[in-house]
Amino acid sequence: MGDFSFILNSFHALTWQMVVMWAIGGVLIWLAIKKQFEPALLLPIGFGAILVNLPFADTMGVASQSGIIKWLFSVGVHSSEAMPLLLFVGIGAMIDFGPLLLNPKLMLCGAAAQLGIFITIILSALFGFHLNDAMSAGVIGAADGPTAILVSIKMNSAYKGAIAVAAYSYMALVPIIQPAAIKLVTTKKERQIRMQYNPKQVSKTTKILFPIIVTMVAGFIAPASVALVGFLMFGNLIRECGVLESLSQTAQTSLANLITIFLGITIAFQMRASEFLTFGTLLIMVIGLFAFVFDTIGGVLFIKLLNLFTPKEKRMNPMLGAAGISAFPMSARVVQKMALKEDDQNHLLMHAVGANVAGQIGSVVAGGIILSLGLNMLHLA
Amino acid sequence: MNFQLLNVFQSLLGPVNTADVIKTLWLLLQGMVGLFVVMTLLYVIVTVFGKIFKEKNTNEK
Repeated sequence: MGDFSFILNSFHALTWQMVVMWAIGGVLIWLAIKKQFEPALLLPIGFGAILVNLPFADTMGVASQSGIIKWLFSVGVHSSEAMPLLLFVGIGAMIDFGPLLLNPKLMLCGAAAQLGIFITIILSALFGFHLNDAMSAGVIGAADGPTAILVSIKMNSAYKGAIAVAAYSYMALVPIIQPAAIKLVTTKKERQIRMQYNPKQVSKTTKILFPIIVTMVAGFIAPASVALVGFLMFGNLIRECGVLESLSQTAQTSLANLITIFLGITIAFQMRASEFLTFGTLLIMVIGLFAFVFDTIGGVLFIKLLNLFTPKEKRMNPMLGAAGISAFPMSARVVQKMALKEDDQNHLLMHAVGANVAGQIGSVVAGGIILSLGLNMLHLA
Repeated sequence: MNFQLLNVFQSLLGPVNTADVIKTLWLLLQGMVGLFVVMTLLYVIVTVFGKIFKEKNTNEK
């Protein structure tokens, strides 16, 4: 029997925490397949959660020193942040900033709707999280998975796995979270405000110069955001230059898909039972929800404030502020759907899309600002 | 606001560090100001671009 003891070795090493992680992995896979909640990320994360919680898992480098997931995390995420950054090239190539360039005022929505990030950081500190964990948790409110992952890694947060799961899960829950938060701070009359849409063509020169200017402005004010903003805008420049169609298509499809496949399963490295099953993880999940709510409220209240100083005919629908988060295009769709529900002739989609892409810029700039200021604070501490 | 009161508050993860809470308030202020500066600059630049580089109205076609 001694020769067959290897069959039982794994059972002996099994802990109840591992079984809980399998269940969590199973739930994430179920959410991805059955509910179609961010399936491209939640499915790999869910499978990865099972993969890294098997006793003596070779993927983790337990049996040998070169576990593939450990290696992917170490090389692709921890030491170089290559994976989230390369994903930004693909995301940048997917974004059409046209609706924002047509109505640049919406740029301000992308700033206001990041309020949730900073409120959540305060909340996290009040809950007793260390500063690095508090700042990482706050970035869940960026509604931008790669930014949340990148900031949590740079901040060396103990909750990287929970933050990634929360960022992607809540992004998928935007259609549920945002309408409730919007209704909380708006009246029916405000939600019925109509806005003119004047379809114009944005010049090609503007579209080409925009990513370069964004990179430079962000780089001067928040140098730590250069990698984030720069890679996002590099992807966009490839898209808009008009002479790199093949590269643009590759960035939007093959590159983004390849990175997405491995990013999810790599992030699962942080979902080992010993690290993931803590009370802090549970709190991070709750706090992350608040981040989305405060983002929405921040954006809406900002537009309401602007409207106080704007002539009646030029007032903006406050719901556009809620679209200033990075969850694209879910947030824009939510605003459009709510506007039509209140008034079936009120088409806000293009305005909402403009605010939504402003949110994509705002979220990476916010991530960069937190890195700039936060790392400085941590070094001084 | 008397931040010393926070010393009494025992959080769910342990005692609250008042210095950290004050730092996060600063982060809120500096972060939001920084964000608005970046986005306002971009707003102004894009508006100027809109004036310099002529747009074609699709309705004119």
